[in-house]
Amino acid sequence: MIATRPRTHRRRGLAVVTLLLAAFLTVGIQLTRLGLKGTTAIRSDPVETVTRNVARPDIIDRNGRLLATDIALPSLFADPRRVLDKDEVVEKLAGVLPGIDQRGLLSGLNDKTRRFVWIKRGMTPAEAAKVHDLGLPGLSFRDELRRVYPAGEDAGHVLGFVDVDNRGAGGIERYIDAQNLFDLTDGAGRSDRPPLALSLDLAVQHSLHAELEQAIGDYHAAAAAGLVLDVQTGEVLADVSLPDYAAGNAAASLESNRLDRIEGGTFELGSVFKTITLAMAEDAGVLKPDKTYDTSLPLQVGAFSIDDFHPTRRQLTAEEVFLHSSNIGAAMMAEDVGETRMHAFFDRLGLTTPLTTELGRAALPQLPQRWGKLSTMTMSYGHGIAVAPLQFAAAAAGLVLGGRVQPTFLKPASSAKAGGALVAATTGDFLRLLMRHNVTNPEGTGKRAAVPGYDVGGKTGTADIPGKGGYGHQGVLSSFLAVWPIRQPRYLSYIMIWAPQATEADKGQTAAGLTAAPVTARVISRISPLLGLAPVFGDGL
Amino acid sequence: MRKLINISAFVALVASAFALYAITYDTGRLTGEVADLNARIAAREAELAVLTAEKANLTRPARIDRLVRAHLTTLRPTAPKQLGTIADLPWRGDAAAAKDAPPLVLQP
Repeated sequence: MIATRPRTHRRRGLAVVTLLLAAFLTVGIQLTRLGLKGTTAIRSDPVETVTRNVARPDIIDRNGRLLATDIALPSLFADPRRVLDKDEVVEKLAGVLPGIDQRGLLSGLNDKTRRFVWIKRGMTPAEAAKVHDLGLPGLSFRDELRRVYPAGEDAGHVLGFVDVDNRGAGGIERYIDAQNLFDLTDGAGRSDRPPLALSLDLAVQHSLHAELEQAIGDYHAAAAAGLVLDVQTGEVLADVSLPDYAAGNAAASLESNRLDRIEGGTFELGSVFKTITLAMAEDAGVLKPDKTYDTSLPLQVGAFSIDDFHPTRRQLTAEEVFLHSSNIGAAMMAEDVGETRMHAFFDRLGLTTPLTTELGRAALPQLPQRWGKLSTMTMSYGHGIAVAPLQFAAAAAGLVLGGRVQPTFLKPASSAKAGGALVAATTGDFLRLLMRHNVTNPEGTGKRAAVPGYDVGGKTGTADIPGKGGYGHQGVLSSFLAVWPIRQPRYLSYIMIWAPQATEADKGQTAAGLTAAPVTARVISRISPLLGLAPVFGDGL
Repeated sequence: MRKLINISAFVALVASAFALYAITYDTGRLTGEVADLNARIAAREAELAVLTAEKANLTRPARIDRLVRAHLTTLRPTAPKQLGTIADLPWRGDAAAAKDAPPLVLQP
C-alpha cells in the first residue's frame, strides 16, 4: 500500500503543505489584528458594583467662587454573613460612631438574606480610621462622593440639597438632575464637567443676608426676604429668604417657616403695586397733565370703602398720588383704565401666568376669580392679588426697562438683552422719574431709601397680612422696591419685612417707609461698591 | 545551502521569540506603572478637591464678616463716599490747592 504511485504522493504532500500554510496564515492574521487593535485585556469585575456614584459638577458663583463640590468620603458597609458576633459589632460601632441607629443596624445584620448593609454613609477620614482600628471582620469601606457646600449658609434656598445617593432633590441641585448634568461612575471619581456658574454674587448674597438678619433683629420681625436683580439681563444677583436653612440641610427645608418666600409663596404686596398702576395709567393715556384726584373722602364701591393709609384729604396730582401712596387715587386711575385694559396689561407683564425659573415653577399667582370693578380698584394698590415676590420684581424690572425681563439663576454666556417691548419708552421714563421723586421729595414715602452717591428710586408697600378673622391682626408686610442708578437702570432690589415691631425712634410706626426703606438704603450702599458701581456726588436728579 | 537557511531561520525564530517576550514583559510592567500613576493622580485630585472646598469654606464672606466683627472692630463695609477716581485727587504740584483741600480722613 505504501509503495503507491509517486503522483499521488506529491499531490498529498501539496495538500498537507497548503493546509498547514492556511492554518499558519490564519494564526498570523489574527495575531496582527490583535496587535493592531491594542487593548485586548479582558475586564472582569471581581465584585459586582453595589451602587453607582453620582458625580455632580461643581457650582460656582458669577465670580467663580466655589459654592458646591463633590468630595470622596468613605462609607461603611457590612456583609452580614461574614460578621461573627453581631451584638459585639453593634456595640463597638456605637462606641466610635455616636448617633448610629443601633436597633436598625442589628436587625439588618440579622437578616440572613442580605449580603450588603450600609452602616454609615459619608464619614470623615478620622471616623473611618477609628472603625478600621476596631478590626471587626465583615465590615468594609467604599469611597463615595458626597456633596459639600463650602459657603452654603448664605444661599440655602438657591443651592438646595441632594439626597443620600447624591442626587439633586431641591433648589439648583434639582435643576442639575433635571438637565442630566451629572454622571454615573463606578468609582468615586469626580465629574469632569465644567462647573455650573450661577448668577448669584456670593459677596452680594452675604451682604443682603447679613442686612436682613440685622433687620429682623432691629424690628423683631417674623421674617424677611430680599432679592437683587440685574435689570438688563434678568440675572438674580442675590436671593435671601429668612429664616432659611444651610444648603444641603434637607430636613430643615421641610419646616414651613423656612419656606422660600421669594419664589415659593405668594403675598399681597400692597402699595408697591402702585408702580404698576401708575405705569399702566400712563401707558393707557389716562393721565392728563392737570388732572387731579379727589382724596378728601374715602371712596365708596358698593359696600366697600377704600381709604388712604396716610390721608391727605385734598386734591392730588398723579405724582402726589404716588408720593403719598394714596389708595383712593390709585383706585380712581384703575377705574379710568378699565377692567379689560388692566387685565391685558397684567397679562403683558406676565403677572397672570406661571413664572418658571431654574429653581422650578414659582408659586402660582392668586388672582381675583372675577375681574370686576372692585377687584380692579383693590388690585391698583396691591390687594386682592397675591404673587410671588420674584414675579413682581420681574414685572417691575420690565416696566422700568420697557422690555420683558425673565429672571434667571444662571450666568448667561452673553449678557442677553431682555426681549419684547412691554411699554413705550416714555412710560419707563415717567415711572423712573416718579420713583426717583419718591426718594428725593421730603414728602415722599421713600425718602429714607436715599443713598448719597447713588440715584435711587423706589416705592414703599405696607400691606396688612391676612390671617384668621381678616386683616389687621397679624401685623403688616413692609416692603420696598428700589431701582438704581435711576438714570440708566442697572439693579433692582425688592426687600420685604414681615410683621416688623415698632421701634422707639419711629414713634410706633411700622410702615415700609420707616422699616424696609432704610434697610434698602443700607443694602444699596453696601453692595453697590461690591458690584463695581462708582458713586456720583453733587449731580442731583 | 538548505541547511544554512534552516539554521538561520531557526535562530531568527528563537531570537524573535525572546524579543517578543521581552516586549510583552515590558508592556505589562509599564501598564502597571500607568495604573499606579493614575491611581495616584486620582488620589491627589481627591485631596485637591477637599483642600479647594476647605479654602472656599474658610474664605466664605459669612466667616470673614464674623471674624472682622470680632477682631477688627473698627472696620466697616466700604461706604460709597470712600470711593473715588484718580481725577478726584488734587495735583501734587498744585500746593495751594492741596493746602485748601480738606485732609483725607478715613471714616471711623
